[in-house]
Amino acid sequence: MTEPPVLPPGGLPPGGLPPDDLPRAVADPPRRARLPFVWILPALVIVVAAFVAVQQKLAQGPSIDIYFQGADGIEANKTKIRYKDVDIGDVTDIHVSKDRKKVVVTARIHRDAREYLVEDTRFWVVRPRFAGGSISGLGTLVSGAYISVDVGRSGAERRNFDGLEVPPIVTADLPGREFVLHADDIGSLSVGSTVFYRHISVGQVVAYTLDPGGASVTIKVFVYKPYDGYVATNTRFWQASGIDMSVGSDGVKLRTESLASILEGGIAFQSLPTATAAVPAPADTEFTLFTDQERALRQADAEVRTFIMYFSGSLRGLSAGAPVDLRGITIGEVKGLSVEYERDPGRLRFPVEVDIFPQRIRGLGRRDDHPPGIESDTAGRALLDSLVAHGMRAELKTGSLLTGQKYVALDFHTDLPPDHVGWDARPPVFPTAAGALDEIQDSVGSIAKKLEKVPLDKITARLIATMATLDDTLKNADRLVRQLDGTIAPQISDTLKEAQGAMKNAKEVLGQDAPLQSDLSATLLELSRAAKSVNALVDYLERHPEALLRGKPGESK
Amino acid sequence: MTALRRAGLLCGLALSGCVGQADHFYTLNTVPDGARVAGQPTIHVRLQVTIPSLMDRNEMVLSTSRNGIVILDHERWAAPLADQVSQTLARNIEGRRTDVFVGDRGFDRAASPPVMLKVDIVRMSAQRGGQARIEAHWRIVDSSASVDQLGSGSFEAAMSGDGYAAVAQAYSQTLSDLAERLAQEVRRR
Repeated sequence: MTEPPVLPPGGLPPGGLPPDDLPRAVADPPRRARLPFVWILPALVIVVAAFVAVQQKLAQGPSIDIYFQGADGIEANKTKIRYKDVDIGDVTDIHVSKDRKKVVVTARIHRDAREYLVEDTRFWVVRPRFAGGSISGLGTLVSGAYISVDVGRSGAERRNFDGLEVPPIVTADLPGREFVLHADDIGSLSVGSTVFYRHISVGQVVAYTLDPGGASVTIKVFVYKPYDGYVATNTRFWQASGIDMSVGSDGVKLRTESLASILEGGIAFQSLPTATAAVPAPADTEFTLFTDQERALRQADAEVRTFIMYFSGSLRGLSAGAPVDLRGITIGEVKGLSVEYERDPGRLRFPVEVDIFPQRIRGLGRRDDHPPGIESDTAGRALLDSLVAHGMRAELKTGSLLTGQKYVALDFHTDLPPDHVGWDARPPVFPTAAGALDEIQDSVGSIAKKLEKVPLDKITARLIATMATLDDTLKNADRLVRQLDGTIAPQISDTLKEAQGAMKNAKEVLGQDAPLQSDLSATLLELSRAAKSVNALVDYLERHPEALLRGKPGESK
Repeated sequence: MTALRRAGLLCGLALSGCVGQADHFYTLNTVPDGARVAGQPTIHVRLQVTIPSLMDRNEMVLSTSRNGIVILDHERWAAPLADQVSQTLARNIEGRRTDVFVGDRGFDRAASPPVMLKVDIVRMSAQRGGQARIEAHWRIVDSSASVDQLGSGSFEAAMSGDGYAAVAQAYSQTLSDLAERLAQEVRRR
């Protein structure tokens, strides 16, 4: 260690000091410090204070940050953190995050609740809410909002959490099981929609996601204990959303699970009746969500035979799912409709693809004691050929005049030319017959063509003009009738009475036996005679004018 | 001659001129003459008779030649000749048919329509001291029997004397003959 130069008294001379004139430093060795006894007490106090501070620090528990969209109802040093309604911490600070997108709620958690702060622990604000037809959090109207905790099951600790904006449907401690449903669309379901079992609310929809590709959706439902025991491997789920109104060939059906399901949708499930005991489904078992109960509970037929049917008439009213009916018994269903172009004759054909369930026809289906194979197929074909040979045909019929829905009816027609099943085609072609409806349609079409030729517009115009004229005429006639009835009819009646009297009088006067008639006749006779007499007198006077003076001369003898 | 005498002479002449021949009146009668036989007439015949206008006058008219006649001013029919002919004919028919009643339209009955009998005497002449002659056409219409027939006939009667009463008698006879014919023509019911 080099000693620093010692400056002479009076400062440095101008031009600096010569190296030899520099003063040499003299080392002054430190003396050993000795702590007086008076400092023992403060030192003890400091040690105790530090101990207390450490103890208090350790007793406070960890501080966490929870991120929310807003801080509605949360106040620093007032809002509590609660788990199962037990205070496990306090909100100590609220501030906006640096990016100003969220609110950071800092809370101090009690030390004994330290283990709650794990990876999947969730926080949410409990405040009054109305959702799903129910009201929750009414107690917070008085006590004020608080932050509730759903403690996760993870082992990893965590200090920063994203708070839930809405309370979770299922908490980790809720007994029950979660299942996965697959559906074509979500329908009117939403998170919180009720799951029904025999019209009892047994669970809720907890989440749904659109599957990759967008072709379907996956819905997660939670079924509470002990109802989760009814979810078995053969359980069918279906949409019970709103009012299930189905219009089919058998009329209109209205079905709903509950009033709540009308508002927010719902899911119902039921197990298929089976001979063997149903096995409870484990959690996260995947099921298909059917669109309605009928499809869901439809028995799956083990054996399905597909046929093609070509109908001559219009397929309007026939849709996929329409029943194939054999004298009232549904033995299949329409699988699909399409249009195909047949090159050879150059025409369009409308194939109807139907699924026939042979097991529904005794004797046609495969029996358990009969091993499936060529032999059974051959027997089935032979039986079907026999039925067709006896006149079995498929025809379109209208199931409901109200809806116009059609179905395929199999029936026997003995008056039709023989036909056969086209086994060569894939699928085989089942022979059809023109339904009565088609014949009626043809007749109606013919009538319609004739009607088209009728100049309805001209007739209508003339008819309207005629009606107008007729209306005027009727009005005039009505007016005339009123006049006749009110004014003229009494006069006519009186006149007729008078005429009747006059006729009677005339009859009396002019009758053959009437005095006037006889008198008149006599008078005319006398008049005629008088005229003759006058005539004779005049004639006589012409011959004998002197007779006026002399009288008639004597006759010459 | 005094004026008074002259006036008396003139009055006498005038009065002498007023003194004329007396008139004689004649009637027709039924032949045979007598009362109608009692019976129940069922057929009503309505008779209509016309006579030539030459004869239809009160004076008796006689033929003197083929184209000459004389009107006898003092030989007169007591009633118009047409009336006398009609009534005489009617009475003659009734005298021959007890089931026939001849009357005018006042006797028509609805249940039994009358038989229309129209007699048209087209010629009627007589010569004094000669004979009386009538020619008649008739038509009988019986609607109930659908009969409509025509007939004609000529009837003559000689006079029984030279007086004018014989003329009336001869005419009565010819009318009787005509009535006989007509009574046969009217169909019985």
